[in-house]
Amino acid sequence: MIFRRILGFIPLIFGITFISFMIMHAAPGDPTMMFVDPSVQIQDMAQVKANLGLDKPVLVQYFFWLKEIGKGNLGFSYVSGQPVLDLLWERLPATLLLSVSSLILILCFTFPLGLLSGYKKDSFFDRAVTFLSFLGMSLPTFWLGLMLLLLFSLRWSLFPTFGFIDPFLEDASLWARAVSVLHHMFLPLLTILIGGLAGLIRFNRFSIIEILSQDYIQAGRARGLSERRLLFKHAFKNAALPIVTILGAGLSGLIGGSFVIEYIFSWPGMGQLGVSAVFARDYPVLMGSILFSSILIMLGNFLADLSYSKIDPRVRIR
Amino acid sequence: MKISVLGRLSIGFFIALFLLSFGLLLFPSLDPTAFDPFYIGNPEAPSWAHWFGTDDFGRDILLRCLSGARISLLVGIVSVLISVFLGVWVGLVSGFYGGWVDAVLMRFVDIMLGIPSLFLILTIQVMLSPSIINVIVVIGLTSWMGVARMVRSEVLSMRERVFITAAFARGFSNSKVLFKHILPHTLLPVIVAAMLGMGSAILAESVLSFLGLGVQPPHASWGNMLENSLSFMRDAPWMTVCPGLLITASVLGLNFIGDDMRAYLNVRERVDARA
Amino acid sequence: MRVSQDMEACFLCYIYIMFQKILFLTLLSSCGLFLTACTSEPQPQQTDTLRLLLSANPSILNPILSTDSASSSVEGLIFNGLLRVNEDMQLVPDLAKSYTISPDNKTYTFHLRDDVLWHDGHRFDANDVKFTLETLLDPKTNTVRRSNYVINGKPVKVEVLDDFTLQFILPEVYSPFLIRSSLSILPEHLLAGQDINTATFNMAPIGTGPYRFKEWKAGQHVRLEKNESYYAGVPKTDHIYMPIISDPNTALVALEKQEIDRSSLPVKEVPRFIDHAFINRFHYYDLMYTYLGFNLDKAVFKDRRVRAAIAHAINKPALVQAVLKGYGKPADVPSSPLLWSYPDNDDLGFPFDLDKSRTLLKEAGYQLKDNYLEKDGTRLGFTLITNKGNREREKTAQIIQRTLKLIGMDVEIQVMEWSSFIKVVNSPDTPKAFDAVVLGWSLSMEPDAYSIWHSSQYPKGFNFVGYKNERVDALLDAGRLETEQGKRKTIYAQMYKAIVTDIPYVFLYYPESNVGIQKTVNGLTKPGPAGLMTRIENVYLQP
Repeated sequence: MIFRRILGFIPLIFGITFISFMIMHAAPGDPTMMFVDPSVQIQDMAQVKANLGLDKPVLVQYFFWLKEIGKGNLGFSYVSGQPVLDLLWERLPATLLLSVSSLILILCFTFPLGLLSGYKKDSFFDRAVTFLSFLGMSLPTFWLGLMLLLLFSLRWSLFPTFGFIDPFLEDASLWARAVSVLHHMFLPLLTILIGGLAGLIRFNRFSIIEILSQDYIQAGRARGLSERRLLFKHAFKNAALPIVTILGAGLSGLIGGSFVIEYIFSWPGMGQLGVSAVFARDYPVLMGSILFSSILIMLGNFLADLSYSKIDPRVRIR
Repeated sequence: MKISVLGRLSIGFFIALFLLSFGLLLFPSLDPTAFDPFYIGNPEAPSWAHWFGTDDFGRDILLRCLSGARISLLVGIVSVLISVFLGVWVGLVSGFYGGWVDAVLMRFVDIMLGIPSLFLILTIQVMLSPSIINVIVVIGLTSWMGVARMVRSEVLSMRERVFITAAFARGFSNSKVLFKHILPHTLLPVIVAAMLGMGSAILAESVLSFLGLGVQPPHASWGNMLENSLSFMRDAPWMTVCPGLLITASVLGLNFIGDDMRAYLNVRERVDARA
Repeated sequence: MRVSQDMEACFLCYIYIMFQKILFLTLLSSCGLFLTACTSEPQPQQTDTLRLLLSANPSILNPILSTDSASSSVEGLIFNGLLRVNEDMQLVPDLAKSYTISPDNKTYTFHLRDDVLWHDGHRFDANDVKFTLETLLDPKTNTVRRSNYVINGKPVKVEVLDDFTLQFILPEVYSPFLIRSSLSILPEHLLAGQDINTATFNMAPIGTGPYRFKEWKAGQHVRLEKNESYYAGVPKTDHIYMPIISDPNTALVALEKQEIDRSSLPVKEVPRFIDHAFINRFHYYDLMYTYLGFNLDKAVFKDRRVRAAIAHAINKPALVQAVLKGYGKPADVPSSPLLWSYPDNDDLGFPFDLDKSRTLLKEAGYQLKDNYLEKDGTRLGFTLITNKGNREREKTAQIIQRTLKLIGMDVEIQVMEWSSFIKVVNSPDTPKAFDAVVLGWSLSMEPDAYSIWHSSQYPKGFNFVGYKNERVDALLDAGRLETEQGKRKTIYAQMYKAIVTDIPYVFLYYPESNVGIQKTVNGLTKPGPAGLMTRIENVYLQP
């Protein structure tokens, strides 16, 4: 039952928000402490704290937060006073664009590479793919990002250094704007790809090795089925199954995961919002981001389950 | 066990690294934190005296990298030990006892996985103030969930096996079955996971350093050296070479070794992402 | 598994074709886009848009609520105060034409300009000023600046005499008040009756300044356009585009690629920008000093000889050279060479003298044992904290640590994230949980440093080192009551001398800022802590 499964998410989200809330409030400092110079007075900071309700016990604060969520109100940022929902909403397009396109590209690259490498197990090709994908995974992201920036942007002037879209294009055609966004997205995307290929390539490789050694493949071969048919009817489908699951879980990396890349390339995504909220102790924004990403994770898992049962009728959603 | 060339190279690399970094302790005159506080010039390019150049305090980069190896490997090993310890316990208890214990523990795992890990790490790290021990604890505390799930499914499949039912039938106590029969069988895949986990822990330390919450100066870790080198990329690009190479080589090496072990164990990456 | 040769070939073929298709679809199509973008790239440099970097997403565009520098750099272009600070560090009229101070020094009368319009066309008048001050004083307003307008517990009163004349009435004489009248003024007609903390105004502000707000894309940029009816003349540049670039390395690349017009330059990068082809580099003192502060409540620092020994051990010129690459000046007093209150005799410090340090420590009863000093079996040492994110301070801390090791002190460094750091130094406990701190105070033109040095500001306040000196307290009070600049200077010179002698801090250096600006940018004012664009309306671009 789909409905029951969705219902099962509610206590989970409850738990996630509760634990994050408690951890957050255990961190020292509060939003009034961001800016301190001799002209700021301690009593003013205390007054602001009281205005924000921060002088109340943590449990009470959590209860208030929940109550507002119940009314569909994510609260207001302590720092900017803006509704948290608006803040998240503004960041959504850039985040979705970068993460969804990186997911798609990763899928496009890893599938053939993994299949081929598993099929030609222990060949030179297999080893080269293994080595290079592991190498990509082993490079620290921030280092890689800056290197690409220095090389492609400064040295060769191929790509812009920062941002999401050329700011003087608001009257331009949709096409010109899309080109601009893609142009800006290339380097961050490349950085994500280099680091993110290894896992799925390895995964595909193992799947294909295992599947090719299964009895029914051998039996198919014996019956004289063409190699192509074998692979793409049977092996392909079975290898696709677990990938769906992995991608479902991959949604979780959507928000927090790409912070470093967002930071280096000044990409206006949610990761930057969340991390700056950690440092500014902007609890409502942080809680909003966490709530949002936990819903995404649930959604990812749920979609994975759904497609699981579509691809493989043996699996039924309980 | 068949070890690939890359696996052998990696093992050799780690042995050499251990010998060099701990061998350094025998020469107290080679202090990697030492510099002349009254004269600090610009970073020097690599030369015979300093193979990988010097940093912005005039300290030898190779020397710092080798002593940083102790810290980076310590972070890798101990944080993985913490995560494996937690993961194995939670997984064992959950898989073995089942029922509401399992339900509660697995819900907790789901919750921990549901909080974006970067926020979790950042908030805890901010709470604890950055020191080597806290870096280790934070990485350990936020990375045990995968192991827990793996061990649990391992235990579940184990319970169905004939020799376990036989052990129960012979009247062995729960704990005896758990520790004598089930635990040893789950250990091998755990070791593989630990190898890969160490790699991620070393990378995690470097990301923490990038955010300013990693191992603190004047202690050298590869992560903070790499982070420091970033702002010198234009004027002293050599500063980035040694820590960058060592991080990459170590993570790569751990993956190769893990890969060989996995091939040997015929353990597949397990996916158990379903909540 | 064994597969026949031709089967394998067939399979490989298929994979390769598929792979190529995918490559074509993903890479080539997008690369095609990139290439078209590239060919269209060399944009003619626009002379109607000034591109000024923001180092973070602004938090809130309301000058009485915001606390971050990104917000205030936007607000500075949109709003005006009654007075403003000019490039010579003087208070000059802005929205006020002139002002007079009553003989008893308690009533400040401002005569306002009658030709100022808000960006929406509404006329600015004295009620806006009254509204701004009253909003600030309202406890429900989430501002940390309220106490600037509360003197000894009593708020400043404002009285509107007519539309363009108003009076501030102080409860008692308070000479630092004048600088407070550079406060940015908010429009009453748009904000009256609203909750100032959450008003939509804060995201799309309307001011009286040279530029009007146009657009704010979170995490991307803020855009402004010129205010055609600006009272001081129409700005020469039509638009200001403020891209948000958080990573300083990226910002520098953007400057060198001529994607932005201005960026600060880290000291180690400065040599590249001297005699640069298309970038001018400027430098000026920041209004701040960096210091090493001792927690005077800790046993080890109760002995002045220990503090003096540390002061003598620090080689300030070498520190300036090492940390600031020479772009700064050794500091001896808690002021800035830019200020009128800077004492004529600034040679009050402790010359670098390691032998003297050693002698002092010996006198204090410390004995050298295994390279470290000991007294009664305890090793002489302390933990030095500083805040994360300021490389100069981190480097300073490391150099101090190394230096003090030479005379036998065991120093440990802890670099703390900002909020945690403030939590420690601002905690209401005594003694506070730190030994010593490397930090900087930014200053205003007003030399009154009551909250840093007055004994009443401990433990609650910024006198977190716990400094107590009755003479300094008296001088601070006297400085607030004296209104004549010359006399105040004498008072503060005496105070600085007393403070330096007591060594609660070792003053380290006055840092300089280095800024790179594209050569196409003209109409700059002379370099100073207020930047080079204090008259932004005169700035224009000429390729």
